[in-house]
Amino acid sequence: MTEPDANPFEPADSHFASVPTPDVWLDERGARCPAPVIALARAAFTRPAGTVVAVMAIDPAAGTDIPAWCRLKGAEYLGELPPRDGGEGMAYVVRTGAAE
Amino acid sequence: MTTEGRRASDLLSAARSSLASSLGGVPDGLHLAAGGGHAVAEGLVGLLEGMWAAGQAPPALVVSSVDHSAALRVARWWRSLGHPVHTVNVDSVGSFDAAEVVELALGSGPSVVCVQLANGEVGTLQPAQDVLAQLAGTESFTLLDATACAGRIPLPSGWSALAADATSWCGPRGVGVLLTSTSSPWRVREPALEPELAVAPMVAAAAALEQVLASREVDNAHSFGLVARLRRELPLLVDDLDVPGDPDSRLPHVLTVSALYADGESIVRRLDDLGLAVGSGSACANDSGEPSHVLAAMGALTGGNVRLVLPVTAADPALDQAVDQFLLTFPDVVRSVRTMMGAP
Repeated sequence: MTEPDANPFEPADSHFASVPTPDVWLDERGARCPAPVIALARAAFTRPAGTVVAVMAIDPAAGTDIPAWCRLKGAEYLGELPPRDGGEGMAYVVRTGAAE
Repeated sequence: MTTEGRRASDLLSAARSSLASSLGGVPDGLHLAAGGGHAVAEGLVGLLEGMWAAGQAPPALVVSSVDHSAALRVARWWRSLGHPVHTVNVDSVGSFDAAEVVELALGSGPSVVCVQLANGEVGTLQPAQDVLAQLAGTESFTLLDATACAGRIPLPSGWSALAADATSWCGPRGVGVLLTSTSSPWRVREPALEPELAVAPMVAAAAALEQVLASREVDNAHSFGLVARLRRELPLLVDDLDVPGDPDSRLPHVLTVSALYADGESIVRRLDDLGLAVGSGSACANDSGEPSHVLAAMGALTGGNVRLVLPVTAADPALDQAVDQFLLTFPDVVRSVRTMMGAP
């Protein structure tokens, strides 16, 4: 996890953000597929349903596999947050479903 | 010409006639390519340039998001020249809507439309026949992409050009076929398309196609049942498995599955060690490092992906045993890769 002020994906003004404010940030920018999805699953299964989790990732498979994970596991895919500093990667935001 | 040279030339000419007639065309319209992707690209570019030469403005190009990567490369090139390109999206099983394609094509004026007959990655059959029928006699000319299925399923008529690949009928690798109809605006590019193909692969491709066509109905019923069994049983043996594509309206012999929390490269390598050859649309298993554009367009899981393309029985008499072995080994392979990955 990253300090909030070191997090380039954290919206500057959450009031106007396109997705709900994440409760948990996972930094998977150094990881390759399927590690970001595994990190998301581990985070989801240890927290109450309805937790908003953001996964920061650079691997191109994350953009398709995180929404696909939501469909397979009954979670809700909320959208992406691009980096404000124009850097690499994306934060994918998910609301977890019932824990398994 | 020597006797030997004449004999080679006769063999080649017989192979060309056989290929053209098996695929529903005429030998004069047969052009050879280095593979299916090459045939798709040359077909589209030849139609675009031929139409432009005959008309005032560059034609529009219509493709779908699950088209052959060679078609999508042509689309990027055509767009980069500032010409109109329209991309049709697909539903969750990877199928495009015929009405949407026809409306886009007719609304674009003179256009070239890439029409996929079946998707080679997920097996989904496309409503290609509807598109060809509705665009007949209009200003829209079609390339029928049959690279995944020529020989294996009946080909509709009414195309301006047809692209095929000998591997789809268990023929040799590196033989692509482009057929153009007599009324097609397709024109040959300079330098000429035809690569120097040896006589042997051409003769082999033509003979393999004749053989596959002769036993097609029996082979298809058999393959369809084997894939149906895999689609039914694999999700019972492996948790968190995505089986994309249309379960019914599909090619008889293609199956793709994606396992959560596993990487395609490791699965493919382990199956390969066990003597089972499979493909993968996962990013880590591709040279490009990009996940399969087909799976991504459908919203399917791209990680842990494995693709099986069943050969005809004549090419592999032990097909049933291979499927049995796959059902036996795949669950263990996925389990061991997941353990290695630290899956939850």
